[in-house]
Amino acid sequence: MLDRKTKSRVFLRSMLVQACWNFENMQSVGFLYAILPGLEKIYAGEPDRIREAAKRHVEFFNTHPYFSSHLAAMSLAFEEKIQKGEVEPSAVNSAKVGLMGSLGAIGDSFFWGSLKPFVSLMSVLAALVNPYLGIVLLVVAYNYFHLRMRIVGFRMSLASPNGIYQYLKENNFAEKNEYIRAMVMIFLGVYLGFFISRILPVDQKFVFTGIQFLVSLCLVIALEFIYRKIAATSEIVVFSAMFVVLISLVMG
Amino acid sequence: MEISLTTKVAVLILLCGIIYLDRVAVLQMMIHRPIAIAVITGALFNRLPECVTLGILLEMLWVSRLPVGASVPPDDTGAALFGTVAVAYLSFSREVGFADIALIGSASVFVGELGREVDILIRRMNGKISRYAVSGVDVGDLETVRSCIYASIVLWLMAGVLLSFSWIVLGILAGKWLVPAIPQYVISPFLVMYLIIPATGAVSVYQHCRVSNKIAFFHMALASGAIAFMIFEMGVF
Repeated sequence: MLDRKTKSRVFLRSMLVQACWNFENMQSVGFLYAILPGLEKIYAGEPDRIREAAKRHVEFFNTHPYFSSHLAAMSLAFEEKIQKGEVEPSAVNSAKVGLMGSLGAIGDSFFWGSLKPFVSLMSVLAALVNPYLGIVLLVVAYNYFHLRMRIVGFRMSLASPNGIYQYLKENNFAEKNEYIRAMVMIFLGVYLGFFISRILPVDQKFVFTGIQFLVSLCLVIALEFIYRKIAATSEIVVFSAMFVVLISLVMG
Repeated sequence: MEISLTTKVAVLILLCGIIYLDRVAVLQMMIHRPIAIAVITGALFNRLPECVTLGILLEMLWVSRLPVGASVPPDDTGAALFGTVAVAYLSFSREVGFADIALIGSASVFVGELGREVDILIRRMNGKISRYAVSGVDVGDLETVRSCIYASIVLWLMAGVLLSFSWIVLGILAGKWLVPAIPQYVISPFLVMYLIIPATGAVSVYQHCRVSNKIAFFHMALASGAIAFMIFEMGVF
């Protein structure tokens, strides 16, 4: 069994899984670095078996960085069984390869696709009230979910090789995604509403402001169409800016 | 005791160099987001409202460009750093309007894309380091793995400090000399970019979010948000 200190070292090192991120084997060196203290503990006094285990884990590896803690724990749970001769050494890589793609997709969708925009929007709206509140909310709210998920998942995955499946079953990420994305849509609307309100002349006549408001709405809908059919974010901004410069030079 | 501007710039370079690590190599705790950079720069230069306005503008622009697989998103940390430094330095010489902020925000897009190229370059260099680590494991030398991870972190840190230095210098040049030299008739129309930049980010998030009733949620909130903020601006409350 791994002691508390080794578990902590593996957990902390799993935060560096992307340190050596590259286009060839992606996170594999970072992953091996994370589980190395665990391997040295499991195969203590058996240097040849440590080397064999290290070779098993230096192959291509890519998942969502937050789920690397889970996969590191699961791999060590497997390695303990391999050391006792209860499972074949190839089982750990089969499980890892089978899970890393799925966990990558879940993590990308949940953390990058839902939680990050949600917390970003919350912090932006909070920053309108107080900038320091915005930054505190960003760091605290995001990392509450992030670190909690990592710690709970790491513990469950380390308990047994099947612990990670239990973790995924208990945390219905698809359902959470649905709720968070609905909130993202609402906050996104308010965020954009803020910018529309800023460029409108509030001291002008009500009708004039109303027309400008409708024009702004049409602009947003046009941008939706352009983004969906024609160009990416950076291109839209660059071409719009060039258009603005051109117009100002012609008019000026 | 008054801290000199040079000291503040040096502190910002070091701080942002470390914060750059959060983007890919270490933790990913979101302290590298534009809004966080804007608050740090604004607090340091005592120009919080101006810097935060730019941070809010850039926050959502690339949030839906996900680092999935081998895809590398633009460097929003660098874009925010360049933009906020430029805004702060511009505000030392004259009052900064929304059009100025939108102009600098538009220029920040180039910085973001340039930073992305540097990010890709570092990942390629990491490829060489990783090959060295793999060959070390093949001959049974596990110390190589540790050394390679440390080397990679040092590489990311050095790149972060260098990028921070470059963006801050560019920001100072833009805020001190470049933007003040642009005639007002060119700057004023950039007010429309004050809507286009956040709207582009917002529509990209909108398109990527698959959720039922999103059209209703988004447009209702947009209209009510705009009206609520307008009423607030009019001083009703």
